[in-house]
Amino acid sequence: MGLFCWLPFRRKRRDEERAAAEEAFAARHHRFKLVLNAWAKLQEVMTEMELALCCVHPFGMQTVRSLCTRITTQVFQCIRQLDELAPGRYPELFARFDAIQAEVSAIVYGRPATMDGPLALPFGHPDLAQPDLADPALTRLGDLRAALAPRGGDAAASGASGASGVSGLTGIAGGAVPDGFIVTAAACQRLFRHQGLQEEIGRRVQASGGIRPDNLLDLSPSIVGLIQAAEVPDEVADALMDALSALRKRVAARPGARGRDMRLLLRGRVWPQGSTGTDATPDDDAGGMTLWGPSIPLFEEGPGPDRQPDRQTDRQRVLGALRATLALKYSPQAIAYRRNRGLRDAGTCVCVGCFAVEAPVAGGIAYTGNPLHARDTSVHVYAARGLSEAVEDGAHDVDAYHVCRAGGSVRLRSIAPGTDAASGPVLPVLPVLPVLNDAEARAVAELALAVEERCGLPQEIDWLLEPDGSISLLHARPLPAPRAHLPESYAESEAEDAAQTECPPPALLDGGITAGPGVVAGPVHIVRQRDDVRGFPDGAVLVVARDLADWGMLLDRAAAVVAERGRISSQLAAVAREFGKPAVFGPFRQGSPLDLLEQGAMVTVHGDVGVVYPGRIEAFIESAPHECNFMPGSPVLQALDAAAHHMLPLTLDPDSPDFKSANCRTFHDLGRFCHEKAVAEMFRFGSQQRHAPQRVKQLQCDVPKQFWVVNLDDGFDGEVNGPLVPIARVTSVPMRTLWRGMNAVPWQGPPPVDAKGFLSVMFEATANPHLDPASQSAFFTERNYFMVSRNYCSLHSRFGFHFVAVESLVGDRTPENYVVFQLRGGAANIERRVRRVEFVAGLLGEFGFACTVRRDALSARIENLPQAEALRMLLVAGYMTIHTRQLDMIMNDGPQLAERRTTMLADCRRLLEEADQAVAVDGARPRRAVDPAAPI
Amino acid sequence: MTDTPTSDAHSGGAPSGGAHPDSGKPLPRVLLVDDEPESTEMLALRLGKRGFPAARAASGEEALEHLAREGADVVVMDVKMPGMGGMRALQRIRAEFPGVEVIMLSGHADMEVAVEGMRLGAFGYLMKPTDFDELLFKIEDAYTQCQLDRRAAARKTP
Repeated sequence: MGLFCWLPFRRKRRDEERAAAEEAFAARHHRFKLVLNAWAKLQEVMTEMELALCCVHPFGMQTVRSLCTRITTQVFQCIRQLDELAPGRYPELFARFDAIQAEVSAIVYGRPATMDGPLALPFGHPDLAQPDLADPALTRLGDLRAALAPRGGDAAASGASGASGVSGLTGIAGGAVPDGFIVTAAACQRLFRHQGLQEEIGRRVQASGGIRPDNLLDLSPSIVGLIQAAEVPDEVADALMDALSALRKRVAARPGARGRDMRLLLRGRVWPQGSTGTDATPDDDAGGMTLWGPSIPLFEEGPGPDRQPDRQTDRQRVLGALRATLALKYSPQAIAYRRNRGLRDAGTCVCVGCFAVEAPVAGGIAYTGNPLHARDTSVHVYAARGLSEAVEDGAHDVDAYHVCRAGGSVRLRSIAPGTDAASGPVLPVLPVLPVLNDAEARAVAELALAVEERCGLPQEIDWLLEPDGSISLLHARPLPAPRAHLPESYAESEAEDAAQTECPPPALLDGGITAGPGVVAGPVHIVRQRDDVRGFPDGAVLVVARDLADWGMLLDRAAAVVAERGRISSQLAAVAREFGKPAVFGPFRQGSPLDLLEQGAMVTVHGDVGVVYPGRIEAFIESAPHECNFMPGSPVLQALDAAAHHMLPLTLDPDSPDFKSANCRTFHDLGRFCHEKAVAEMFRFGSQQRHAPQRVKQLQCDVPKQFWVVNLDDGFDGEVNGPLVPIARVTSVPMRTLWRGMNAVPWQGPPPVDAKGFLSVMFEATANPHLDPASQSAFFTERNYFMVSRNYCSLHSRFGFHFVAVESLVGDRTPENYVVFQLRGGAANIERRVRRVEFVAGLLGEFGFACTVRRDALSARIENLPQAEALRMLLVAGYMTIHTRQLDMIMNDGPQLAERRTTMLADCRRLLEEADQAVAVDGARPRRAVDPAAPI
Repeated sequence: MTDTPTSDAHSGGAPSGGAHPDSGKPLPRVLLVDDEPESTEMLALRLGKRGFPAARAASGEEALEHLAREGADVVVMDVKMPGMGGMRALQRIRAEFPGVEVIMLSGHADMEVAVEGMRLGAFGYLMKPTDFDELLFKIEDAYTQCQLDRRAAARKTP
């Protein structure tokens, strides 16, 4: 009776133990799967980072930070889960992680130091010489103010400079820098750091997925609105109002100041930190950008001179103008420009110049040279009524004047046809008057030349014509040198081209002007309104009606620009030249490009001669210089490169005795180490004495095979008794498929070896201690193992000196699926082994595997594929597991090798076809490339 | 299940996750925590379409209240919220509601915060905008983890 009582009890205890063991396996397997997912994801993000490093496309710091953060979290996940699988066994991993993370963090998050220094200073103040307090161009303007003849009464502003003796020239038309002050970069930085404004901007950029061409139009207004609503810190507001009140006093003290419509004009400047402006290279202004702020009445708008104006309203009005100016830093074209230049938002400074000017009658820009032709030395003056902004943003019609440098004669005048927004071009009955008369154009040219003489290089200036006839200088920068030689005439160019092409096709458009040189081909994309921007494809030719500055936001994607009308002086033209994009502006002989060019049609834009050809004309394109990419060497890329140094390289070798956690030097090392150790831990646990009888079985396929299967979780269809597991009872989908691939084509045995190959093997086997089976880690020494669960399989197989590992996760989650095939070792000498892995990499590459070869080790990986496709790849991997054995022996035999390649490719393709057909025949089941449930 | 099996934290709702309409697998009870109601609303809707019931809370405080009242299996929480904030709420959930897994979402690509969150026991850290499938897998994995942990805990203290 005792026996009858005891038996059920024992059975119950045994059942409980078994249930506990199963749970333990399930829990470990889940952790293991999390390591696999993290390791796979880590490799994916590392590949993304490598791609970014090739800098084919511009990107910003948000991308860099996002990449780094994603890599970091995956590495941490690997370490944390490995620590759960093997508690406390690898404590150094966390220390190594912390050290590497600290390095990366310092690179990608290093905040620019807080700027100290004055918050507002008058032009020409000696303190402006402090680095990064003001834009080099604005600082230079202070010097120019002292050097050029100042108007009466202004000189007090630049008290420190000695040029005040020339004052008292009131009434004489001439050029000068207006009085004013600068709201410094230190002040603007305080504003952006106040109440977490900059963080919120960063958050919005991040939350919309970084700066992308398609989200720019939503992102930009969101940030602009944020800045317009931001609070200006009191100390900044006070400094601004103090500087303004001093300016007001100076201007009011001027003779004849009363009754004039004086304005305060705000001009923001954004520039990359560290530009000193002291070394007078032509490029010291590179990456700088003007923010065309509003102009507001200079004086408080009190009801009368005697009554006190409302100070609070006045303050709000001024601060509003400051915010509006700074908000322009995040206009679509400004964001796109910085991104294209690879400038870090955190590393760009911004300051605002505030000028006191009389409401101008006209404004514009002038070049003391031709930005396209080095040999053209006449002064080019562009003018529009009102503020000079109109000339840059292309929204208004602009007159052009060429003033002869020597004689001062106005050689060429091209007057913009007056247009009316509603009725189009005004009929020629009305005479169209030029904006400037010859004397005024000459005065502008003289000012530009005076600046050139002072600075020693051809200049580009912004100027204003005030009602008293005086010309004010608002900005001066060295004129970018023409990038390439341009043919002087259409005829000269035709002659050059004729040498290259037999017969160029008739032009679609000609007679246009060159706004940017170069030749490129691309599909036409017509943009009529801002909403058309969203669908703009990469590499298309931007076709627009006017050369509006707004379209600058497309210049990272556009291959070239064609505008129905425009001027080479526009900002769009300047940016196109800066980025090396061909730009052709009309009017064209044939008419409007918007009517004549067909959306999507391929055209070749010949920027040098102002012509658009149909189709793609290789001969023109090849001879042209390429567009310029500012990403190499840019601050953003430098940051990514430095961070990648701590992340991407793999410095550990799993075969080396130095494969230890303390030796991990990069995030890649850490991930690799964790994966390797996690697999080892899973194996160790499964093969423990108390689990082994249940968990480790020899594979049976008709007869027992020399392969063992470790069941990690749910890899068998229930309890398997005895030492053998029939393949039919294995539920692991990837293992069944892999096994099928391994057995699909019988192995012919070792290839016939040439005598040298055989000798090479003999020599290597005696000389290379690595090939001594006894010295290999226990993992690979004895047997061939599958480690399996329903969706996972890892095979470690050894045949002589030849090691193959296949690992695969295949399930419903397409993004998590992967197949990895690894091959190393071999018996022949190193050259043959290297040639062998290259040979195999070439084969696997045919099926879409991404292959990495390190010496004689190959790792081929394919990921993110639907279950059916992943299983097809497992068939290929299975075939390769068997048929790459001892290939190293024939690596010197060219013909045999080529033949082998053909055979192996044909075998694999047949294998895949058969699998497809097997599914097609069985129409009842859902269509799958490989049916894992099919009998094997 | 219909398109919107979502319940609101305020109104109370389905106390248990129920089973998946297709597979019969048990479903996690998800709690979405974000101070921007549009983002949780959108997410709850999408999760609902996949048969995941999701409750919503607008702050860390509200999330803790909800957990005390109705419980949940997986919490998906924004890092930056006024009041208690995501990190503090994460700490308290891990301390006061063992067996509840937390996935952090963040609009900031802030590496330090991400690692800090993982150290405090967050199951995962995802950046906005989140790939929906990635979040879904994370929720499933977190739920598996939480089921395994609960079973192990039950075995230890029968």
